[in-house]
Amino acid sequence: MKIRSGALIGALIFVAIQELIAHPVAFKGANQWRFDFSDSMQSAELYHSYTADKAFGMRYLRFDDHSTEDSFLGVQHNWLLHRWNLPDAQANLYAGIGFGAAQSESHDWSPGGLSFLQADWETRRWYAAWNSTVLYAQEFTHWRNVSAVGVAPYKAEYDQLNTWFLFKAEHTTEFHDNEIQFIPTLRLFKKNIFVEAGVSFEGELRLSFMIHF
Amino acid sequence: MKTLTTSIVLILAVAGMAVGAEKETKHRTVVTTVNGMVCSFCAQGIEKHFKKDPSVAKVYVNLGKKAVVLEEKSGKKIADESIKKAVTNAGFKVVRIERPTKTFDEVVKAVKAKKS
Repeated sequence: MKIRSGALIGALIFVAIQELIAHPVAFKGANQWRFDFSDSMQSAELYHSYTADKAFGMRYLRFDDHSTEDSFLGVQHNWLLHRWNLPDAQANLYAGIGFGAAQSESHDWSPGGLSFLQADWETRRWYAAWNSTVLYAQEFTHWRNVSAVGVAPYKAEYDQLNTWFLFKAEHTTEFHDNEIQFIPTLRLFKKNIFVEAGVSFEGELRLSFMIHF
Repeated sequence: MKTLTTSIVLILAVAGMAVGAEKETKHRTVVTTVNGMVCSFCAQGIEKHFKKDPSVAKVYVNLGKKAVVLEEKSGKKIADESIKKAVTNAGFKVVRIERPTKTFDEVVKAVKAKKS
């Protein structure tokens, strides 16, 4: 079923460039590695949180849907703009900017950049997140929005395996025929290891992995 | 007679010191109530910090009870300010810090048994 993105964008409550929407800033001193793999998009992010609300690192991002093939490689800085630590919930507002080099198709690499805004809210049972990222270069501009809502079938304790069922909606301009992608996703994490696996309605497998240490 | 009296006084003094030391070791548990601690992946920073702290022997984190339980090493004390700083650097908010007169294991057992 083809759904035009323009008609649905306004209806989405949570619109969010990361396949994996996770905290882009971890605890002070943490190193965080994140990888996303799918046939049409690959992303690698390496960050160091030098304070509890600032992280600096590198990012590689590549889109390839057989009609568009764009890549970005650069440095990125992330900020935790505000955190609400509530008795049974946490909510966050993040922003980030990146600068580097971008390439479209077989053109030469040229200067490029990205910026993002992210919001999330979670309890031990419920989760919602939104990320909006603009990737800009000489040859292309992609505005990507990803949103996710999730539920945990059980409230996992600190040392237990955490299980989440997520439903994601993604839209990237000039990518996947400008259509919204819907991806039911299974999220698992324990200690400092975090993995996600999802399959879009079009049958594309999405895998994500994250670790911090 | 004087030697005997001196010996008794010394023995009592040493015994008293031993009892005092034992009493002191019984009050080495610290319970911190933390807001925002809903995700174990995100709370790893708390455990990681306290495991490296030279004053801390044991760490226990319970998300459901919003509790971080610490056992101080014998003869060492971790200041409230250090605990607040560590929890804040991990991204969370300290609500209160308590020092119950129970052992670490007793407190952990009580926290686990406590209804949310």
